[in-house]
Amino acid sequence: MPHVLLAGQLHKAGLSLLEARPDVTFETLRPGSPEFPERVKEADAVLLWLEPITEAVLEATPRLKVVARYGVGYDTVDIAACTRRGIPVAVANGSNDLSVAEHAMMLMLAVARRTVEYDAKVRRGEWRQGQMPPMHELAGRTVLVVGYGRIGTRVAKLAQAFGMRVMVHDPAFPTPRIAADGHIPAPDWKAVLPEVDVLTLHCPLHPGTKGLVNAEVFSRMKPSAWLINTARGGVVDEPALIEALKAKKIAAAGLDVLVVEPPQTNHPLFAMENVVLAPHNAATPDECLAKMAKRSAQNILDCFDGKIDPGYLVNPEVLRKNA
Amino acid sequence: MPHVLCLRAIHPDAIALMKAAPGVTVEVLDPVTPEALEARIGEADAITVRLARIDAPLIAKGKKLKIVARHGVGYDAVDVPALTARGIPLTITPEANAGSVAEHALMLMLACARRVTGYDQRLRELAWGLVPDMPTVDLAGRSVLIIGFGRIGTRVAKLCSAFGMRVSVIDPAVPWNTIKGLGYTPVEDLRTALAEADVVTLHIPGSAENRGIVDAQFLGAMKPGAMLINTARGTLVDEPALAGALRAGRVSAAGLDVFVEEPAVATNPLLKLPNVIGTPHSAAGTEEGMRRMAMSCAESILACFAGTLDPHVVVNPEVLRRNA
Repeated sequence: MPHVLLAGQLHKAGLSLLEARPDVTFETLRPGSPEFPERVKEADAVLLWLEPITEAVLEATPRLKVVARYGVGYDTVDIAACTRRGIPVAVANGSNDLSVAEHAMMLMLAVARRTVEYDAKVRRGEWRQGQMPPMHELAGRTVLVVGYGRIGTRVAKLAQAFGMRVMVHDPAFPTPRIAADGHIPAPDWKAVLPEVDVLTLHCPLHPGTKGLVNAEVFSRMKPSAWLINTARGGVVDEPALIEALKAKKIAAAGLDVLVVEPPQTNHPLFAMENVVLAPHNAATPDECLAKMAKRSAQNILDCFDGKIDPGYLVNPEVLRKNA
Repeated sequence: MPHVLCLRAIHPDAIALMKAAPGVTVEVLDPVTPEALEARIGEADAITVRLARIDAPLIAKGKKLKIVARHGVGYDAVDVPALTARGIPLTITPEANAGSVAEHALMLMLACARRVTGYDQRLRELAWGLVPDMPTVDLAGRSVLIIGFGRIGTRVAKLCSAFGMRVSVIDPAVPWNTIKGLGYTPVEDLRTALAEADVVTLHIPGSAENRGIVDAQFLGAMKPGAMLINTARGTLVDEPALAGALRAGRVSAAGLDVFVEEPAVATNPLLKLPNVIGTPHSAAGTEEGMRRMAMSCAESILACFAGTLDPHVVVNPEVLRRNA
């Protein structure tokens, strides 16, 4: 009987799909459990939170037939190594884009209004005394959306509803389609940076995007600009960001993700007032967790049943190879 | 030679606009103490008012006063009958801050939905992950009740709709078909609507009849776990009742830009609660909004001097007819 290892507590909406299958067994570990390397050896399928799947892990897990991610990112998985072994890597596409897009808009507005700082001032009874951090409208500002996938398209549309001027960069997306959606295509995104008020990231982390937003990017940005990152911490060169914020090369940042998660002590960003931080919780509303759980459990079952929709696979070529 | 007295500075572009008008002089009073105000009000043909109280005794001392221009839209601190009796128009800056306030209301809604202040603080204390007493929610698919469908409420409705929320509107002054035609649901009975709304957002003036409308009964009629957003006036809310509802979790979170007593004091029980996000009556205080408000004040003052004041910005337009 195929066995599924859940590397974290799956929302009941997903558990019920697994429970409904008498021909499948499953077990749950708590996130970050030291037992993971041992337990994964017994698994035919694994559902991952942030546990890495490397060549070495695959070497030790000959039974493993399916790797599934609870989410859409796959930077923790060695895709090439999985593909070589014919192991499909499934992600929960389409289940969290709405929540992440709302979170990006939340961070944009919280940066615009310096919400965290003002809330703290009001609680201290300071009201408007002392330094008043600047507050801005989104309307009329220019936002550059980098990555025009399921999340980026939604963010572009929401930004448009706020009356923002929306520029879009995505090398994988035809510029006429971006224009047809009412946005300004920016194939050379670094060239438009001097006119960008808000840079928001919606691309995956892979070798081509690692450290994409670096010191050179910050040096081209307006001193009044903001960075919003709900993608992956590694898309940003974090020391360069810290330097840019300190040197006022940009004005503020809203970050849901960090390079190292959970973060290490005394992260320099934590001492900064012009930063709004969130603990990688863009996709945690209950309805979002339910959708992700259902999708990721279904992905595992569909792989077992040989009917996985290739649209949910990072490496759909394994289906042709396995056929 | 007309003299403009600004009670605290307004945007420099607006001061420059007035100074550029032939014969107009501008003076900025800061800080606005009662003594300073009394000493200078007699010289002023026009005043711009940010937060200062403009009462009847002060108006009586403003012998030359021809216009009072409010930098904002609320005028609960201005004695309108006293101005009207003297034939002095009171202007507001109607469209100048509506966009800013509407964005602020959406910010508070999203910030409450994601508990951004709580999670930001936890993370800075190196606490990772979610906690059950700070649940996060999507706006999409939730219902919002917009109380007051004026310049701000209409804009909030449009933004909520862009987020995929179901929008209900209550405003006795707006015809049902207008609300329906815009794609929203008009509401007749407040209590029924409160029981169905996931988010309630206030966009009505702080008039005497609206005072304390968000009382224990109102809060008790709300859907359990709903959120309250107030960017209108603090006096609309019975604060002890709201604090009780928030402590009991009856109301899951509140986003408050306004308080009964402002500046709010740290001892306000609402400011002790983790499920409150508070801002210092700053919804209209964006740089863009402040500039538009200042320009609108300056334009009203210059138009008044020229005898061409637009009645649409005047709170007491009857004085224009009388003055004509």
